Amino acid sequence: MNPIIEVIDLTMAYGDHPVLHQVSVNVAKSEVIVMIGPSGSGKSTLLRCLNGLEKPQGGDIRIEGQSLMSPAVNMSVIRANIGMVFQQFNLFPHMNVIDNIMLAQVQVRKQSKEAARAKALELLKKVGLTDKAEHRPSSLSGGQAQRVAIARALAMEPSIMLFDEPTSALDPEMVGEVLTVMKQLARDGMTMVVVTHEMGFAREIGDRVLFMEQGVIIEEGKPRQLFDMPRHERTKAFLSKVL
Amino acid sequence: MDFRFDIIIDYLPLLLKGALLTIGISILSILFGSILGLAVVLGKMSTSWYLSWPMSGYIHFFRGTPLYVQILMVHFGLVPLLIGQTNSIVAAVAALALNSAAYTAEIYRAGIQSVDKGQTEAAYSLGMTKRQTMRFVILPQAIKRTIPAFGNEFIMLVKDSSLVALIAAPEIMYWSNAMRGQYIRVWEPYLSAAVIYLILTYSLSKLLASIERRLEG
Amino acid sequence: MGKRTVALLAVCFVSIMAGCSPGSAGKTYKIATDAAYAPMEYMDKDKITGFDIDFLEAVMKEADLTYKVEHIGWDPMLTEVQSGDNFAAGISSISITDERKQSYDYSIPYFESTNMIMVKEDSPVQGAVDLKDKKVAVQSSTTAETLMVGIMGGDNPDLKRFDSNAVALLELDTGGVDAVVADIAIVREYLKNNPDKKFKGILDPEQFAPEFYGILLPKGSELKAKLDPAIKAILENGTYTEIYQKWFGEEPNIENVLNAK
Repeated sequence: MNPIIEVIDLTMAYGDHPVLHQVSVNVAKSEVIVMIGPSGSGKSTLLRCLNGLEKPQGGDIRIEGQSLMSPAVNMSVIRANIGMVFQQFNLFPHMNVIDNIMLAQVQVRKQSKEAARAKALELLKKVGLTDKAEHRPSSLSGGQAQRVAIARALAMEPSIMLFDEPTSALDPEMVGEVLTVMKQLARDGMTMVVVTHEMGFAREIGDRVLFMEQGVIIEEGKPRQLFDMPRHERTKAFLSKVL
Repeated sequence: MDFRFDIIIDYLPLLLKGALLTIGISILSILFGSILGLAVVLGKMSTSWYLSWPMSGYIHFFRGTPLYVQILMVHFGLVPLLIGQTNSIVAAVAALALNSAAYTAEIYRAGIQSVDKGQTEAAYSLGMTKRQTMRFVILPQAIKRTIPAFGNEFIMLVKDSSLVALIAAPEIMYWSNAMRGQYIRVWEPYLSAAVIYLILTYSLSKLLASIERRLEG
Repeated sequence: MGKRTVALLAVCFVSIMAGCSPGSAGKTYKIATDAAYAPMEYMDKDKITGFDIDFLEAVMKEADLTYKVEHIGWDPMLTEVQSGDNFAAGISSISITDERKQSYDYSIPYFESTNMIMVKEDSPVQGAVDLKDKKVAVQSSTTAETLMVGIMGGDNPDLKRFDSNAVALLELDTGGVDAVVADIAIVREYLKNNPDKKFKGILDPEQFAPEFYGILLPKGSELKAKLDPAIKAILENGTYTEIYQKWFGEEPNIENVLNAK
């Protein structure tokens, strides 16, 4: 089976500070990839390259066979098919929860308002926030806001979901409710790339874990193997600090 | 100092008529100016140089030259070019709107840049185009934040409109100049003009404050 | 702001403009003025009035021409008359000078004037030359400015140019300058209105030669051939004298005006 995401020799630098160095990785359909590593290791940058929020200087990324580096690529079309969840939620503060979820459905997918509203309510039910539909984002807790953000991304019916440290900005007691939603999503067969510090989540849900440091994938493997029998010294050093 | 209230009373109806025109000119100018200013800033922030350079030049020109000169240029250059003859009120509105557009463009820019980058990224990640992102996500947030600055700009514009007396648009300053010309006196015409402007700008700032409060609530 | 409010404003605006734009029926000559120069031409509330305005009325009646005077300010008047597109002429106590003749045509002279010095009653100033090391206020773009530049030097910081005679006179009143130089009519009007202020006017025929006002016309204007005979006629038939007496309470020297070149 062809991989849904192909990353080939990806290289990127901010000025002369290298961020990614010849990174290659494939993601299969329905696979859940978890990226771990110290901050500044390039894992968030790699994730943001996957939907074009960062522009790499070299190498290639292909989503379902379509190269993102091709000058003819329509990024909006690619992005509509890739959901992204941010550390800071990034809900639109001037709109109600339901309008947050409806906006791109109506504007990008050209759904009717009724269809978009029905879809939004269905997703709110799925993340357990039906009663918050008419609330402003500012009245939500962090955990609730992040669940709305996930619902907003899912409303586009993407084939891939990217998560950029989705629980890092949450109070500890709210991490669980977000992870529950993500686990459900993984079980439903969503292709997911997750940058996180939640090692328990990685172990439980990840099909594969990548350990990155200084812009390079140092080691990758099944969670059990990488967490319990890391082969590389740097992986050991990192895990000993976080576990 | 002798102060002749009688000549102020004489001119009061005309000063008030002038005040109405000042209000009309100011409202139309801020209206056209803020629409034009939006177009200017969107052009300036565009990635195409053939849009951003001219708009950048526009802002530099109108912020960097005296309004006095701009009024004359519009009155004797632009307006006759467009409608075939001079018309002081059209020129007044056009000059003030063009000038104010340069300032409101910068107000918009500050507002747009104050919106968190994450908002743009979130919109992009949902597949929204640049244009959709600007229209549905960035501008609604930016414009709300610019309202206090717009209030200041409006008040400045009301005062700046006194310069159009130069081309004989019959607003407040025009009538006070007429009073000055008739009686060859300075204090009565200028002080009565100042009081009328003060009343206008004070009421305006109260009005704007209440609009801001309503938007907050 | 609601759409309806905006529409309403637009309607108001259009009607204001319509009120200001001149009717274009028939051949109506538009004459520009800067009506801020009492008693020569000034706004009496919203009516333009003054000696020049009455004089113009008599001339146009004599020449049998329809016309309309508009107060558009000094600089706009100069620009408009030079192009001649909108305004056929300007009347605004405009002295005939050689410099201005390079850009404009004039009617024959219709008014004799001179500049007058106004100082405090106890001032030692006797004539224009005494002003050389004094502080002097004038209105810019007037012949008073030109004359005082000749006497004091154009870069002399003690020569203060103001936007209007009213401000120049206030400067004298508040002690910022020692003298104002302005048209005799202006100074006399001021002295008449402010008898308690203890100012006096000084004439200096040697330094301040008589000047003559003319109607300002675009270069090559066809109007000159119609205005000149009419001006001559009212100077000679007594109409001019009547108007002059109405405004200045004295007899004009018709001979001087007629013989001026």
